Amino acid sequence: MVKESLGRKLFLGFDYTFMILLSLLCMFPLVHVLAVSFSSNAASSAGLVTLWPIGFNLKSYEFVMQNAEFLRSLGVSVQRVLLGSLIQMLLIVITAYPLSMEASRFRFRTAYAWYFLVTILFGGGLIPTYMVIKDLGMLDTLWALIVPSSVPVFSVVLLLNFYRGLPRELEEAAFIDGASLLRTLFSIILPLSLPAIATLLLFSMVGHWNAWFDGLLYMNRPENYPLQSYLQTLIINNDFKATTAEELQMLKSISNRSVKAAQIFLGALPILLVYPFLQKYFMKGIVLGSVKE
Amino acid sequence: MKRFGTMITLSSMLAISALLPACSNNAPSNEAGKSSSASTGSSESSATATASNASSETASAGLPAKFDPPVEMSYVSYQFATLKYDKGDDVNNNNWTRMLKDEYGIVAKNVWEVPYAQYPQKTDLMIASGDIPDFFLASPTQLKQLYEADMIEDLTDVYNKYAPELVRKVQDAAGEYPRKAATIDGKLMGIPFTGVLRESVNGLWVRMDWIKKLGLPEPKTFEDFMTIADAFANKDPDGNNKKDTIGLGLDKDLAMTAPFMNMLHAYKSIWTKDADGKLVYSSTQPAMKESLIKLHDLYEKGILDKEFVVKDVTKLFEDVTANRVGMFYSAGTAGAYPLQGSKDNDPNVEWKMFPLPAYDDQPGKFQTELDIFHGFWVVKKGFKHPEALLRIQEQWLANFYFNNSDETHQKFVSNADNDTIWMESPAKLYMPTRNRDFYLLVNDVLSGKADKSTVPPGVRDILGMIEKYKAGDNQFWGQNLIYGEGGSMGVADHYINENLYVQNEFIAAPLQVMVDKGVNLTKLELDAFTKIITGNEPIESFDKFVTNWKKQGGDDVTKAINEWYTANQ
Repeated sequence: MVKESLGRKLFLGFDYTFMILLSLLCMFPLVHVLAVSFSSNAASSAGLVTLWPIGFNLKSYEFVMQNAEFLRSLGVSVQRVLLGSLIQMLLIVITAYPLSMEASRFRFRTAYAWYFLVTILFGGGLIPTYMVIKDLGMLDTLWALIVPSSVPVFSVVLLLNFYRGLPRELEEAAFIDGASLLRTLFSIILPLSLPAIATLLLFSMVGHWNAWFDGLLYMNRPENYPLQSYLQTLIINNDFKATTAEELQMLKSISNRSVKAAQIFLGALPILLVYPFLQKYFMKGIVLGSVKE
Repeated sequence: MKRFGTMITLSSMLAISALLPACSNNAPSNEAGKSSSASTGSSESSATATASNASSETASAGLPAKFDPPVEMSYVSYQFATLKYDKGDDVNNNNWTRMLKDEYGIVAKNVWEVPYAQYPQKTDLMIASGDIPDFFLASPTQLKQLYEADMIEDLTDVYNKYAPELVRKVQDAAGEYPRKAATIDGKLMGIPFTGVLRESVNGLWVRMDWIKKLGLPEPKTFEDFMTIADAFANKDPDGNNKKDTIGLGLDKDLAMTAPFMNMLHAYKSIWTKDADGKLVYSSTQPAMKESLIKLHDLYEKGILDKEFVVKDVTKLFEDVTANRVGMFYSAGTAGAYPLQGSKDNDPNVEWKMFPLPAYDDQPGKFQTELDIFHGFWVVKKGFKHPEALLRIQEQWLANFYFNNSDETHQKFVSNADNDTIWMESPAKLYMPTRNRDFYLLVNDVLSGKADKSTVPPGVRDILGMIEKYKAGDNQFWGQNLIYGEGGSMGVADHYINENLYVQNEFIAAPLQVMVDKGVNLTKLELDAFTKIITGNEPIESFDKFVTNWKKQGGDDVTKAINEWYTANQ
């Protein structure tokens, strides 16, 4: 065991303290929301709660668990993540493979590559995109949330680079054994690129889970909102300058902060649970994807 | 040969994602086809209907008792988060829509329904895509856009000919301004969604238990106000030996300074008439300087929260709920939120709303904006029966406001299982003084002048809550604070009866020059005022602000607004 110098010790000490503080800082908002969700509404709407619940109770969670809208939008989100990620992954895999080949093997590769890259640089804009979705009849369907983002070109480029890093010899060996292109892709290339796939899958799932704006835009009924769009409508401050007696009654139930906090926390929970399982691939995948032969 | 085969495979793989939007269209395309054929169908029939209508309507003036064959009206709407439907009902099939269909032959078809906060953006998108429903609620800016794009129907004749008595009654009660704002080039382009601004006056809320504890007078005059504010901040009203109370609550956007300024006969950020009948910007007038001096004075004495510059209204309401604030300006409805929370945190808390304390022998007048809720109801150009909208509005009024029957109330407004049924009406208008009227009726019953059985069901609901409060249930304390004896709506009643308002005379959608320069000017004003209040700049810098304001576009805006004013008199 080499004895560490004083400078090194100081550095490590400082380093650890700094990193711990930084991670505490990241934890703070989440812990705060959690504390508010367990507090009594009176305390939380007075802004008294910071990190420890005041007037501990589980009423908010009881309420949320019986809240049909919350559960329904959770369902929409789960569908969206499962179907959306599956479609994304499939399309990424089959798009990246041809594009990873040299122009000598696939003549119009460059043209195709540009076709995709243009979409990174230019978007259609809010209103034209809306009109396209509308005219395709996808408004108010799950497809409006899945189809527009089904080919994430950035992910395609990552995977494409990963494919290029794989030894050509494997592919050639497969051809000699009589495998077709599709067979080669799914039996040889795909299993080899699992770390990269896991990374992209995480991107895809988190992206779908957290997206809220498209839900607000393309859905005609709040029943079809994914969870994050629903939460967005919940936490923004309504302007209640002009109210009727009936709206007043409503205001009392809307302004319940503990319930809001409980829903926000439950909304973040599922995706938090996915992270640990994919995290190891996440780091490894990025490194591997960027290495070229 | 092999190379060719490779290319085919590779290209076809790419084609799947490259052409994706085209393929994924299979299933939903039916729907799109249906809706487009439906719309061509309706436009055809609308052409024939207008022709046949012309003859039948001259025969019978007034709204047709029932549309036969039924009229289908598409519309879009917003809802509030708590909306729920009775079992089996939905937005196109509920008590309201069934009644309209069965009794009046109006089939209201909702195209989309979103939370209120999303409504402006969603309607913007809809208008931009050029496909608007038969009727909907448009904001003032959208009204102007729709008019210029010739997308909406002129309702002048429709209103004059068909408007039912109830609709006229409410529109007239709202005063001339909403109708004026809905009129472009002499044509009534929308039915104003009349609001409740006048009864929502931002009175002075005061902690009565602190007043009693410190032996202070009620805030009748400006001197009283200053004494109370000072005592609340500096005499430790909550008795914890710490200087942690706020005399007068303010927010960082200075929205809550307006009633204070009104008390001193100054008006914040509105356009008022000067002696020559020209419109001038109130924030640049000499009276404003006086009120900024007073506000700075409050700040110096530690009466204002030293941190108010970073607190928005929501944050301020947190302080109120935490019982740190002694006085603040807010509408009468503050009784329910945030004050109910204040009571929940400490059952000994008492609040009361007061009119503006008198600064001199003239009573203070509240500044007020165009009294509409969100905007105007517009009808799509070429829609065959624009008058059907008036029928929906009439029915809304008849069932929501002008109704004494419990049965109707439970069917269309609220009942024990569902207090959100009223939201389902496809079109609404607010009665400008309804909460005030409720207050008067509640107090008639409480003082024995009227019998409970003679008042509308909505009033009976409130009376029930007040009874529960009096029996010791603090959950309804807030309702009592609004409608009960000495409630906040009593203050509103005073202002409505005496008509103590200063109206913002500019009621149109923002003019182009305001869109260009407005953001900058607003920021200039907020910065200058905040700095003067907190003492970062001496009070003399107010004159500098006025010069800057004029130079940076204020003069152009004033000119444009006066041109608009002369043209629209």
